[in-house]
Amino acid sequence: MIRNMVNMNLMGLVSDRPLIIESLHDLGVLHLHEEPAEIVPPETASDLKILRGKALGLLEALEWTDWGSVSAKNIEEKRSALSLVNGPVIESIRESLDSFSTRLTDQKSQKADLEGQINSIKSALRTLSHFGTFLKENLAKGSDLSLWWIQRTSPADLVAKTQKKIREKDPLGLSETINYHSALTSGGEAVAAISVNHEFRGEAKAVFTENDCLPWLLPGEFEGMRVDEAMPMMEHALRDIPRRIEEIDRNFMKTRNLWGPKIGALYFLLDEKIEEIMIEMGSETTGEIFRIDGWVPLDEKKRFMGIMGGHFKGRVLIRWREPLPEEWGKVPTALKNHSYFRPFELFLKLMPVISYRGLDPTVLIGVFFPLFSGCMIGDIGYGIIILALALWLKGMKNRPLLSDVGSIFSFTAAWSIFWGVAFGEFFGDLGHRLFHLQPVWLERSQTVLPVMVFTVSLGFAHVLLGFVMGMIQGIRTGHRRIWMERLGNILVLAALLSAMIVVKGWLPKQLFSMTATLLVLGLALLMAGGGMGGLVESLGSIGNILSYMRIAAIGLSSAILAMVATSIVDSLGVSFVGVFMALTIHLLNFVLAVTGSGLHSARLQYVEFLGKFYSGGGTQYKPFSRRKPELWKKR
Amino acid sequence: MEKAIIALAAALAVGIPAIATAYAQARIGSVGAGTIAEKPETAGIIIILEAIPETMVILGFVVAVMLILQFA
Repeated sequence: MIRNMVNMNLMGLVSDRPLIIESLHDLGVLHLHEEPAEIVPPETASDLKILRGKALGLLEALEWTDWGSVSAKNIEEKRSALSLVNGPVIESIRESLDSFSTRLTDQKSQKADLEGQINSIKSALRTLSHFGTFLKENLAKGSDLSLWWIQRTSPADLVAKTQKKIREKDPLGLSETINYHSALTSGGEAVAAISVNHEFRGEAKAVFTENDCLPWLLPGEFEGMRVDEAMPMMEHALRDIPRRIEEIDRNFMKTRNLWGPKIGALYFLLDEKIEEIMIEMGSETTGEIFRIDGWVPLDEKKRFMGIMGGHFKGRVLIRWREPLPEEWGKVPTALKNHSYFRPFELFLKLMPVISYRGLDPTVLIGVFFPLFSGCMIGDIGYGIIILALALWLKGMKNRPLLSDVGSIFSFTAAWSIFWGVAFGEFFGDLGHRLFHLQPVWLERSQTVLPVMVFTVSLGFAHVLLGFVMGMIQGIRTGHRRIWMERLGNILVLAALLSAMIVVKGWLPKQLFSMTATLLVLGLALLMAGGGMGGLVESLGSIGNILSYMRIAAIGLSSAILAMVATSIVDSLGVSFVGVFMALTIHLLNFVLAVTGSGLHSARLQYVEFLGKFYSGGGTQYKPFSRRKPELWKKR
Repeated sequence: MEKAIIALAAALAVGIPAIATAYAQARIGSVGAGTIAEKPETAGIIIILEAIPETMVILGFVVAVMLILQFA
């Protein structure tokens, strides 16, 4: 049901304003008339917004998202520290956050440096692996070794040019000739290693530099070292650096687990404080008096008066009034249902917010959704598995959405078992084979027609109920055309039903005149309420009723597939392959049954039922309240 | 022979609407996915629109069952 709302108008002294707003925040039931406007905030709010941004930035840098771990203790500790927000407090928070941010950035850049080093060392070692033997032989000879990135000229040409230059200096050619070896790196670049006598080192360097070659250098701290000395040190570093990275990661995790909830709590409180300041700024002030307007659920009025009256006795004036008809569009909608049906409010979250004067269909969805989906599944075995799944999901208290889905599944499971008993199905015909299970009503895989008639009757009742709800809705909101059209539809459907009964001979033929009267009256109301469109909708409602035959159709396919799965064992025998195939088909059928029944049952609610009366355009009830970490979603 | 023709008629009664439904749902689905990406709050309406063409198959199924029960 939709909670009744009352308008609250509070007037108090400007000097009490921060305390009054804090109390309203604690109460958490006031839906303000308008969201606090983003006016130019006072200096404090602006500073707090910067701090909130910093806190969120730190949480993102910490990769922390476990909002559920923010304990009430953490929040209370910080709340008492933040009760008075002034310049020194803001400055001290800013300093702490900045210092934390610097340490975190240092840690992260240290890790990035180490990762970079690992990559450079690996790449260098990969390149050097092409020159292993060459380096060993030439270092043993005591020659000068250098490595070069070759860009355009081929290594052989470069070596020829170097030899020519060496001959110019040493015409007799007494010195040993130049040696070289070239290779392509994994990146596709050519690298050449050159070995010459130390005295011709300058000539070799000059030739390679003139030909646009760049020296290949060892990475970072190894630059300038001899290759044979650097290689073992690089291999050692390759073993050592991952250990250092792991240590940084461990520290990072420790920091995240320790500081994430604390910064999260700080973020909550800063957000709350900013909201309070914005509301203070947005409140209407005249001289020493300020005013706040909003909506409060009627069932919270007593508690509201008790707390506000107790805290600010004689210093606040609170006036209450019922919403006026012209305000109905602005009144927020808050739902309140019995705990059994509350999970079914989930269905309304996919629809526009229900209007304040609308009818809450949660209970009816809670009755019909599991009934229809259970009838489609209609198998004791599948029902038991769904029940187990439902209990597991219901246990996830920290994930409200999954817990709600679990509750919905438990209703579906109960109806599946009920219909399974009616149709005598336990994993298809396995129950019949093993324990001679007999259907209480009928075997739907053999007798289709009665199930089809039953589902269409169910549809008739459901659609009719939708029209009745629509009529009530029209009367409540004073829309004459709506209730006339819905009533017209009801009469036309009643006429159709009575005509069928008379034709079947279950009622005397003399009552046919009553059928005709109902039809004429219904058509007249339809024309008066919705004109030609009303007549067309009336025809559409017959299609809506026939649409419920999907319950029988999907149920039939599910029952036959389950029988096929079990009969596989007949064909392949009680062997591993036979049992495996049977289980696989049962699993497929189970998944199809659960998803198909859920989707089709939801569709029947959304299209065939809610379409008759549901009116959106409402405003979601969003009370001005303290943040709840377990319900927090990062914006 | 007669039974085969009845079976074929029943199959066509379900098959042709099924192809039409698949075509309609594919078009609605692709457009709906784009809409939800831009406006997630329209998810409910899109699911409803996606489900509307299914009625064709259900009506086809009714015709198929009637064919089989009447003539087979």
